[in-house]
Amino acid sequence: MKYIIGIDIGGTNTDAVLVDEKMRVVYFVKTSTTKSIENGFFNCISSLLDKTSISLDNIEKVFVGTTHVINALLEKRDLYKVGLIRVAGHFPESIPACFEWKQDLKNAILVGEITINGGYECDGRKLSSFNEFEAKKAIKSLIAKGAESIAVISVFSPMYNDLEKKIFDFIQEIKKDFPISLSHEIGGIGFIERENTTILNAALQKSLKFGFHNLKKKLIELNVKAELFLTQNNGSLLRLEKALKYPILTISSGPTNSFMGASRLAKIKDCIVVDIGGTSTDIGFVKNGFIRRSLNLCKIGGVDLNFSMPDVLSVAIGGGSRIEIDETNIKIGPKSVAKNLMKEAICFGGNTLTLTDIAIASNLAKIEIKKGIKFCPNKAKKILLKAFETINTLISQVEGKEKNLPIIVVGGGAILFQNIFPKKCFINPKYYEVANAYGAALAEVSATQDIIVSLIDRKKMLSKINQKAIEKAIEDGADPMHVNVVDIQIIPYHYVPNHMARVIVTAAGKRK
Amino acid sequence: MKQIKIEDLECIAIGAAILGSGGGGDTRNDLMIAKHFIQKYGAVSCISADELDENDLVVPIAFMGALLITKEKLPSGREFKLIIEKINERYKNKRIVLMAAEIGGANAFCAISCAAILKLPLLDADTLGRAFPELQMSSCNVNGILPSPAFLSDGRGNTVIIDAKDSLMVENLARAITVKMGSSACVSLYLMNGKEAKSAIIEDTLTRSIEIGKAHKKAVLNNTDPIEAILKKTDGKLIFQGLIIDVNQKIKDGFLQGSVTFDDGKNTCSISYQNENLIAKINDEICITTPDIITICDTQSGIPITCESLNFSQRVSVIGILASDVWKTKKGLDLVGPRVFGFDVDYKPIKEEIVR
Repeated sequence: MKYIIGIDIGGTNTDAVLVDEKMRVVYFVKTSTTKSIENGFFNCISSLLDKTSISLDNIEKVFVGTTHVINALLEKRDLYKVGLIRVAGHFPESIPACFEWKQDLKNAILVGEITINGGYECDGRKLSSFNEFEAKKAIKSLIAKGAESIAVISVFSPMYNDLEKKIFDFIQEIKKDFPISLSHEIGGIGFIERENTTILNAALQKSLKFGFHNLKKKLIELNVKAELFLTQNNGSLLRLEKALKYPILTISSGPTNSFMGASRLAKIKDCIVVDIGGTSTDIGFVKNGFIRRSLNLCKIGGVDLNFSMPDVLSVAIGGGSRIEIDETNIKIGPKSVAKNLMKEAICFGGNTLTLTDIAIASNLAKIEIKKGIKFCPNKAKKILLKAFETINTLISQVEGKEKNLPIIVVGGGAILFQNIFPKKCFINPKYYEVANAYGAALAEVSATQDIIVSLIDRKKMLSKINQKAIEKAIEDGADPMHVNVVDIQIIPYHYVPNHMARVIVTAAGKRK
Repeated sequence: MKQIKIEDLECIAIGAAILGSGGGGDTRNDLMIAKHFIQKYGAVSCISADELDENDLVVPIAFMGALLITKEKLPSGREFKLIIEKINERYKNKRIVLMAAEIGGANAFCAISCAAILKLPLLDADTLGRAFPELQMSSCNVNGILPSPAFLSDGRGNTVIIDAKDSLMVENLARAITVKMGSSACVSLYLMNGKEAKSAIIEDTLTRSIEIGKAHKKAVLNNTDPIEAILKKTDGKLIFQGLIIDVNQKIKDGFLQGSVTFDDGKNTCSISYQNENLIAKINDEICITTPDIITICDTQSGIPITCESLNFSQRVSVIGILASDVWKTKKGLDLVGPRVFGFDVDYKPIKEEIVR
């Protein structure tokens, strides 16, 4: 029997599950996230392995999901200063870089933008001649301005990426191992959204640099020879080396993992998922086994990005939410004791009143505790119901008119509300506490082709693109026997001849 | 005279998309461009048709080509200055008053950006009252204004002036040139003097788009039904509310063609579109046709959805809005009636009684 470890590194907990070939949970552990990500990772996996007797050689893969990147962005910590190079021979002045960003985020990140000659029309003609000297001058000038990371975007690079690659080489020549982000690695057609995403990625490269690059070493210390991957936004896998270069690809993997994990644990394909964590609660919609995606462009920290996000509503309520009470008001969150829940909450021997303490005092939740709480049960019940009402309002927003769907409640904080959710709709699957780690273990390899082509010979062209997406997925490690095209989007370009269209094909399959 | 300020732009984006009848493209980038130029150069002065002088040169302006391509190859921002330079060379010493050629969709913003950069007055009017795909489909054409000379400019500094025999030839030539310009170009045609304009344009459409946008915004803020607010502001009719159960689209001769079907549990509604929504049927009976405006909005948010963004399982409301009078004349219907788009039916104004 071969095994997979799924691990979720969240703001509060680091959880791991050991899953067998048939995706059954063998063991799981929940540990607290530590300041040093790699030590928390080490501790979590070692306590998981302590529980099992399987041979370590049979652990084939370790899949890591994390909310580390999104947290770094929201808290604006560990961000590189970024210099931007636009390769755009028509020198667009209509929209400057980081336009409509919040001023403080822009100030924290962008140190300069330079437009240089180059780039292409959609049909492959050059916008203007690329000039090596001009490119090198731009690189040096951005570094002189204080850039610690460089973002490069060239017009139509998802189809013609040679100039971005050339600039990569130039930067390497000037300063070896300098952090670089190339836009064609990150997304498809749509200049502003791709540029935003590339700039943020360039800044976020710092967030994974410390902590994550040592994960592989920690596995070896544990005598686990498995391959290591991070899970990305669409629920597929990313090699650690690539994740370190393109951390933005993991930014929304948290909700993706927990929603997929919950649906599969409960074996229900159409449902609402409520993931109650230590700091926040995420609510989403799973339809036919797939997460409902937002129709609008994804916006993170006020910035439009170029990938689709799970359609998720969030509120800052979780097991670690601090409760502040004065004469007139009761405040639940948004502050949380987060990773210090097991130390700071009163019921665990600390001094901070949290929602977990309230749930225990109300006698509505059965949780193993270290220390009793002196708190009026009726008052506690009121506070807990208030928290529930906030969550419930969001649930009805996600439900819309589909009122009869089962509600699956998962996450470490689910237990707080076990006696409050209406019985008929409440489903609390086995292993609900580690739904995100289980979701990480479900990840597959996927690859996307996003290009503009003429569909005059539609059938032939589509099968060519499908084939390319499949080859790319196999190249990235998908099992050739189990790889399929999972999504085709055709966006016709009207008002131009030759049946031009943007075609986006995604192929996915189990890892070989 | 009034001013178009930054805070009006978001309202225009919603209002213009609602008047777009499903066409006219995603307004996001053009909205950003207009915001940027108003931030940089200041608010735009907007005049009504009454304030036109007989000798003014009224210049309709728009972007032509594939909107999805301008999302990747952004306008340079210099197309506007270039095209006005060429117009000034040809028509000497005239006061130029800019106007959106097409209020429906993204093109509502082209004239605003141009007016901001060049500090020119903007006319509260357009030549369609909605969106249509081809250059000959213009109220100016109905009213005998000549399309030539037509001016084109692109982001790389190229300009072309077309002197063609008729409006169809202008469309054909301009289309071919636009492709060579990288499938996106700034275009100006049907230039006319103030006197001619008064009878050839569709008045107050910019204000109309702002008003619709404001009504939508207010409903969202007050948590009341945005669809109801849009209907009230446009004198529109709610044609159908339901769930999208099928989207079927293809491209023919460079145009997006397709149909979308909705279901409300009892009845089905289907809409045929070619870039814009053209005909809606409920249970196979036609209830609204082009040139009346057919707009599909997200039921909950009231946000209009363009044809290329239709998706399965969206909950939507179909809104019908009466077209400008110019399109209901014989000449108008010969340009934009159902038969022009290959439907073997005649124009019928929106049916009073609509199945719900």
